[in-house]
Amino acid sequence: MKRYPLTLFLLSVALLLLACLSLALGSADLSLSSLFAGLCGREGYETERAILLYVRLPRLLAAMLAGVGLSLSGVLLQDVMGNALAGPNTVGLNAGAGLFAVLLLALAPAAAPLLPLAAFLGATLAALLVLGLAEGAGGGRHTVILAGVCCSALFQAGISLLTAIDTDLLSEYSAFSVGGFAGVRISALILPAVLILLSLLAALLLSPRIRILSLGDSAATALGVRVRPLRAVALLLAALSAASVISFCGLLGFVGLLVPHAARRLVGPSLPRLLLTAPLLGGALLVAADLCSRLLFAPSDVPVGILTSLLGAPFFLFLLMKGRSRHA
Amino acid sequence: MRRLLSLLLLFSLLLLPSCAATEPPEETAAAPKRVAVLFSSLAEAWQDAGGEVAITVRESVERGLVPEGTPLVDGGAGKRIDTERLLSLAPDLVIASADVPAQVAAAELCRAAGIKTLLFRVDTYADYRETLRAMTALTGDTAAMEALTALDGEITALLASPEAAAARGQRIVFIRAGGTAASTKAKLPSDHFAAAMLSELGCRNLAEEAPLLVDTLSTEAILAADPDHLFFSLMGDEAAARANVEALLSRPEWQALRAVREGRVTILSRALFHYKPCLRWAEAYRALIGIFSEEVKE
Repeated sequence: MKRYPLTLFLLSVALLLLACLSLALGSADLSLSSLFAGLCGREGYETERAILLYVRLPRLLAAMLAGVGLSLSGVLLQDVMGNALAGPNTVGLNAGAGLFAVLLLALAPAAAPLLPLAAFLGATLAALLVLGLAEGAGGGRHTVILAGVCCSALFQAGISLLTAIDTDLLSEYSAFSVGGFAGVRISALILPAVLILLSLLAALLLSPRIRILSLGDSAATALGVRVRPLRAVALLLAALSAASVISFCGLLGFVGLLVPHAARRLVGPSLPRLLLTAPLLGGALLVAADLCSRLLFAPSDVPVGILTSLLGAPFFLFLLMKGRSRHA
Repeated sequence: MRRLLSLLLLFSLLLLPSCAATEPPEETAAAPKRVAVLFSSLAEAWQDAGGEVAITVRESVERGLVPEGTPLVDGGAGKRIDTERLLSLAPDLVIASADVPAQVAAAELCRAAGIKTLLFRVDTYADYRETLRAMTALTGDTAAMEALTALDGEITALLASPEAAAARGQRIVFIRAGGTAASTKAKLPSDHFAAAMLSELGCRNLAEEAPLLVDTLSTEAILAADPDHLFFSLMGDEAAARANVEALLSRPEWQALRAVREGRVTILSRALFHYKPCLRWAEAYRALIGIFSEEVKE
């Protein structure tokens, strides 16, 4: 019983420490005193100020927000669909965002600054399409997954076709598809932050009902839950959250899949607990990943998406093996 | 049956190591008449050498090197070659780029089909010079040989000129910019011929100082290094790339750079620095030298 508050506390402390490290460290070797001088706006420390306020701070905020958003999305998707492999990828969000991004770059390259909006629209419309298809096929959990997989494949084919026709698009799309926080601005985070936090709040309010869905559709209906509308709302919240993240950092892999599993190891399967734990854990994970991406090959800037995939896969296997030995 | 054989040959070619640098031309009794050139810069070089391009790719038409209606084997820059169409057009010589895997594969297929092929890699002026020498040896065009000799002399004189000394030791960042921030990346001399030219002039590319350049230099590293000059090469849609660069330079962190505040930022002209400049290579060197020597005068 005491473990849950302690876990939350420790995760919060870890996130805070990582945030401080993220501001203090980077590919430029700057002392704390010079950073502080830059923060205070002292003359002669303009470079330090620029690095702190316009490079490190936006990346820190973006990493935290992306961790919260993707983890929230993953928790909702896995819980609602009762599938441990569910994630933003599964319901076609990433592929939908990618397709709309490529369409924008192909049809209106001058409108490239609207890429975040295109990605957001693509992810959201993909989720609506998947939901609509699933509803038409009966609305069960498995039909949502199947519809998501089919739509993902379709969107990926569209992306491949467009990049095959215009090979210049490939380099633009590659940068977007790997995912990262380089060049992110605080102004681009405001609207996604509002959407993610509203989604989190709504998910917390609905969590007592959403958790009943895990008992199965028949049991949930018998308990008075309106299964299909609730599932649709939960999926929409997941989609909004993930789409908001995609809009400012591209297609970050593994976070939405991995973090809910790790959170379950810490606090168990209770949805309300997961909805608080997973975002903290996801935020800490991405802040740490961003820090590593800036330090490991400094002064090179490795896209965070590469690290999350490189580290996420073995860590996920570790969790699976640990879970298997526990059951054994 | 022929299609199956072609597919089997292509598959086995994937297991072979890719072809490398310039290959010396085989001796031929007469100059080739029906030449397929699979890369627009090589098409220009072949024409500079006095040759005619009979078959090529769409980009050669868009650049005005060949007229509309010229048989094409790719609708773009030659990154995907329609080998079936290429074989059906029956060239007697195929010239391809060793940098493009699809062209290397197409060249191997042609070679297996008994068609003479040449692979060239043109990353620097020295590569271009050797390429042109090899091509003029095939065409026998003495005027082209003289033009190459004159170009070589001009470039040698430019590199040794007092104006060129202004570039030595200048700390630069060379950035390839697309339409989005994510596709805007600092590059090494080996990544772009203009960056190689700047290195040849004695500039210090800050990307080279990274122990291992993975993807790009971090903005932090560029800010901390505060380079003397920024060079941008635009790719993709020019208007979108230019707008992206202007938006980037207007950001507060980039405004903190002395080079940005003092106007030492150059967006390289596509006319000279997007495609290989070929016979205009001296003009390209002169343009770069001019940037540094004007700064010295100021």
